[in-house]
Amino acid sequence: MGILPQALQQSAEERVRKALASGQTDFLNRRFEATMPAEGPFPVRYLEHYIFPIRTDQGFRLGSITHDVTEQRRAQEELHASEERLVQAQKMEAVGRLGGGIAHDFNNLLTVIRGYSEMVREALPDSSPLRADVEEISRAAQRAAALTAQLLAFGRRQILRPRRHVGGRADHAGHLQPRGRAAVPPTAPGGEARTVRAPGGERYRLRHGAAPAGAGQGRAGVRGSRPRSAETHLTPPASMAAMQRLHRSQSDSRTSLPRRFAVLTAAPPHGNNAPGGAPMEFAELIRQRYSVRAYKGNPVPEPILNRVLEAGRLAPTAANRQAFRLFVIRTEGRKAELGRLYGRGWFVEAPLVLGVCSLPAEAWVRRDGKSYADVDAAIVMDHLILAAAAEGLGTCWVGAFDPAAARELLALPAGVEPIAFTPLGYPADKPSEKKRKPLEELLRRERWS
Amino acid sequence: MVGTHVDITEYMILEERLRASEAKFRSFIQQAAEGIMLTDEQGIIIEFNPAAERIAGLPCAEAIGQPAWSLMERLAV
Repeated sequence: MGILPQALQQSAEERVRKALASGQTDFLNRRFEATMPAEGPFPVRYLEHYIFPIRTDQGFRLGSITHDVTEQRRAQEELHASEERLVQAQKMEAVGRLGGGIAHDFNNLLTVIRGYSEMVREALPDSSPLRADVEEISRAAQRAAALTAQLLAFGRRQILRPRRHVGGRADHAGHLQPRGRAAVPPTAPGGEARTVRAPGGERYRLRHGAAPAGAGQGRAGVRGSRPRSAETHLTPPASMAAMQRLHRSQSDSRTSLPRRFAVLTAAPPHGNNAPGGAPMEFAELIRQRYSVRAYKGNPVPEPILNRVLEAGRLAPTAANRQAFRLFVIRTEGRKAELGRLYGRGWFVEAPLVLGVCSLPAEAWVRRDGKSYADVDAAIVMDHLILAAAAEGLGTCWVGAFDPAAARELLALPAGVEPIAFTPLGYPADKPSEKKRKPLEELLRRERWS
Repeated sequence: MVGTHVDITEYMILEERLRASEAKFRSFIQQAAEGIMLTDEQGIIIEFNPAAERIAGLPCAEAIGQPAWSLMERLAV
């Protein structure tokens, strides 16, 4: 029977007799695992045996304790199987992300191909023999786009981190505007604006986005938007309609949104990113950042803080000396003390205060003796506040703090200069209008005057 | 008439204690979730609890009296 292990079956009697005679039961006195046929849901049962000798006046008896571990084994197997399914699902998710990301960038390239071939076709006279060739290019690109749409549809189910679409501001939709000009330039070098004519007669100005330096080919795209005021009334030209269709098919795929198209999508409500939200478009972020002078007390999650600090770490410094140090100061329970640094109540409202100190002895010095220690620290602070804004966090950098209090509170040794501090927390106020001088006043071209 | 009287009080007490002890361990063995089997010094099965019956698919009445190895040979997989 199954109570004794399989290893004993061939010479069961011999082995049992040996154990009985000698009391030497080392080969029995251990745990075994065996299977035996059984009725019920499990045709095979897993048993663990513990067999041991019992000494008596006449010799030895054998005792056996058998434990049915079938259920545990099944549970373990099921756990193992579900772990494998999870791993498989994670692999599929990774594939989906990768595929979705590639499909996106690839789609951008296809849009360039389609946009350009459309424009070439428009520029060609009807009689041109090249027309058919160009149309063939366009069709092939369209078929390729359909393929990437499948990949995107697959990737869409995998993406867990939604990204926010930015755009729709009146001043944002400036790249494509109805123009009075009738001429359609037959050719336009990349990176320049040109005009296309819509079937309804409106003319749109199209800017072909020259990829920013270092952005790579995968980012090249056609930039365009419809004038906001006519959003629902104008019929966009054929190529624009195609781009819009394309973009609509991409717009909720939430991988790397080609932001040049963002203006084509419905504008989301304006405002700061939610905590943990997606990165903003850079120009939008620059526009929206403001000096926050009221903070909520809720904590800044560690990963977000780390991303902000990482931005500071990566800031460019003169000759890459990195002659600065970052400070993270928790305000909890230290509000009165930290208030000595800077007297405004909001300064200690946020859960954190960030500081940047410079190390003048390590900083780069210009040949005329000008130290760039402060400049470096200022750039670091700028990186911090922009990264914070991208995370939906508020900052307000402060130079008017009490340096003596800073030295004391931060226990700064000689040679370390406190340069700037900022609260870091979630804003409790609303931005007011940015008051900035017009660019003309701030800008000089080539010479002072 | 001659009669002897033997005081068996102590014996009765012992017997009673033994019976109680036996009952205690029997119920323990009967109710255990683990299959419990015991052989005598010749390897003959002398104890086979209900859990062992269930696990082995063999009634106690058939198991007891058999040598352990014959059970093993007959039923082992």
